[in-house]
Amino acid sequence: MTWTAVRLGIAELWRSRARTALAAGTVAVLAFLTMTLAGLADSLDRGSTGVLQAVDADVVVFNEEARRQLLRSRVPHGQATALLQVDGVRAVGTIALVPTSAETPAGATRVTLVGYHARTPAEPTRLVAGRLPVDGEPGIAAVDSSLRGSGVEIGDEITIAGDRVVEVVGFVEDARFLQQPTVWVPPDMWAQVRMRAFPETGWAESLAGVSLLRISPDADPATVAAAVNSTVDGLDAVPLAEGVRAIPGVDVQRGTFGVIVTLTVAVTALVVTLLFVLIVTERRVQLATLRALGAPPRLLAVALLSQATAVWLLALVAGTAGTAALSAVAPEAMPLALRPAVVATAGAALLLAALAGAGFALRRVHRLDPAIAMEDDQT
Amino acid sequence: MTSAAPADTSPVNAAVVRADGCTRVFGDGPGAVTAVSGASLTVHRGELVALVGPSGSGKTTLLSMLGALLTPTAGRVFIGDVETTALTERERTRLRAARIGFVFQSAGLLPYLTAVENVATVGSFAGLSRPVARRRAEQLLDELGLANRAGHLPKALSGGEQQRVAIARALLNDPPLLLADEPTAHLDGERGRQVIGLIADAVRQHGRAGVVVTHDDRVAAHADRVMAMTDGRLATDPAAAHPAVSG
Repeated sequence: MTWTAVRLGIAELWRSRARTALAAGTVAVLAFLTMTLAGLADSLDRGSTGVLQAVDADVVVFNEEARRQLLRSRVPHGQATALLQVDGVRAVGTIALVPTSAETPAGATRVTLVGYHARTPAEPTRLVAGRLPVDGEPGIAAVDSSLRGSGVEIGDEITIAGDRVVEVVGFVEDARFLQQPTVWVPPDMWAQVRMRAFPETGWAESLAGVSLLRISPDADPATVAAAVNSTVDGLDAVPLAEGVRAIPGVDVQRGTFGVIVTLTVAVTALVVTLLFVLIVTERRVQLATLRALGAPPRLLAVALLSQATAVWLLALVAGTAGTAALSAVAPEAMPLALRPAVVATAGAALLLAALAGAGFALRRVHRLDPAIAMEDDQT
Repeated sequence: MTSAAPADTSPVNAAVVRADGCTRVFGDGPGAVTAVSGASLTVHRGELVALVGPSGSGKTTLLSMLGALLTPTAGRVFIGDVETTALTERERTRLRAARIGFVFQSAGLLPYLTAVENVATVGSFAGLSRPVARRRAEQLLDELGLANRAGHLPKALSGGEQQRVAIARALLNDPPLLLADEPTAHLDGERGRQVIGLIADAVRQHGRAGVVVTHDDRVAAHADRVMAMTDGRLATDPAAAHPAVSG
């Protein structure tokens, strides 16, 4: 019976191709908008927060005065010993950020220098080419893969902060900070650049930035963060997700795009509802005829839902293709990339919208009086 | 015509459908309209009854009640020994699929299915497997002279062909009861005669009961009984009192 219903639904779409194209085209425009907005939101978010998302940590520790600002935080790496004493903490690392500039083959560009200790939770996990620097290696860096767009390749030398030359030995992906590429270096190089950028701070013997904690598999990040705050004075520990949200602009960006994407999905649901209410109204006598002939309401419901699914699938393919094409020609200032996860999430939301819209129209099908089949206005 | 169901061993003159004092009122209060009032009718195996009467006399409403499409406001309807008026909506749906064949005024074919698909689709409503329904649909279309039109969409068929496809659809599940509402209304003389002949054959040769609502004298000529409706009232049904008269 279910098969019959699906065949009925799909046969109607196939043999009414012009109408199907119109319906799918309308929903495809909305799918394109949803995908583009979701892709933009995702790209902007990753561009702002990548530096924290790229590390393998569960808890971020700021010093209290930093007010959860990555650039202002000055937790010395020496705190690691105290942090390791806290229940649930398995490993401690530190990243320290300095905004600076880099000379690339394409010219000068702003970057964020990230000092970190190798083989700690501070090490970036998204290495896509080459290798990562290890502590004590002079003049070596791994850089964000977006610098490939500036012509940087493995083995190239780039100049940082005006006169510090580093050799690029690896690329890490999605590790940007505030839309700027990051350059990951061992602590010595970070100290040199920081001294040059902020001479008043003096020479730093060790990294001073935010501590990153990896916790036991059975521990809860919020509980460990609370334990840190109650055990070690002057620190402000939060779960990683909260630390990410504290990055300037992230909350506003997520909220704004979230509302826009939600509205687009809601409009999709409304449009699909109208489309299917129109279809049900127009096909009232046909549907009643099927009911009169003994088709159970469930069959008509499955037929309608299979049509909604087919329209969604066509719209999703067209919308995704449109967004992919746009991302290929989008200017650099418009960071639009479409990850499979974004397509899956937005696609699922659109499917729910389509099914909800068709589901609303189903109420009319269930109320349909089979005696209408006796009316002489069938098409 | 081929029968897919097991042989019916009920008596030759058994009542297939019976309406007892059926009344149907639409609306309520001062605006209520009584479409059918106290109609009683019994139709037996192998019997074709024509319901005639002016427009608005309640013929189609009575047919809808006989076909379990409408529930009477008062009175009872039996198909075989099943009181349809006591069934739930779901049970009535199943009963329509298995035991009633409908032929509508405008054929009522689904425009997006071919002739054979239109016929075969109702098989699944009664639990027939797809291949069985398909084979039987092809066979019925062949018997109705539409073998070479089986793969055509309704828009490519003439009115008479569409109505023949609708008859094939009505017969697919081999129902004991065939109900037709003005099946010749949109057909010219020759095609109308052909269609009513097919309905009469389907009733008589296979021991079905048939009720046809019509304005058409050609239909009345094929019927075993002609019953007139006027202002919602049905002329007395002699078969109800004397079941043996049918035949």
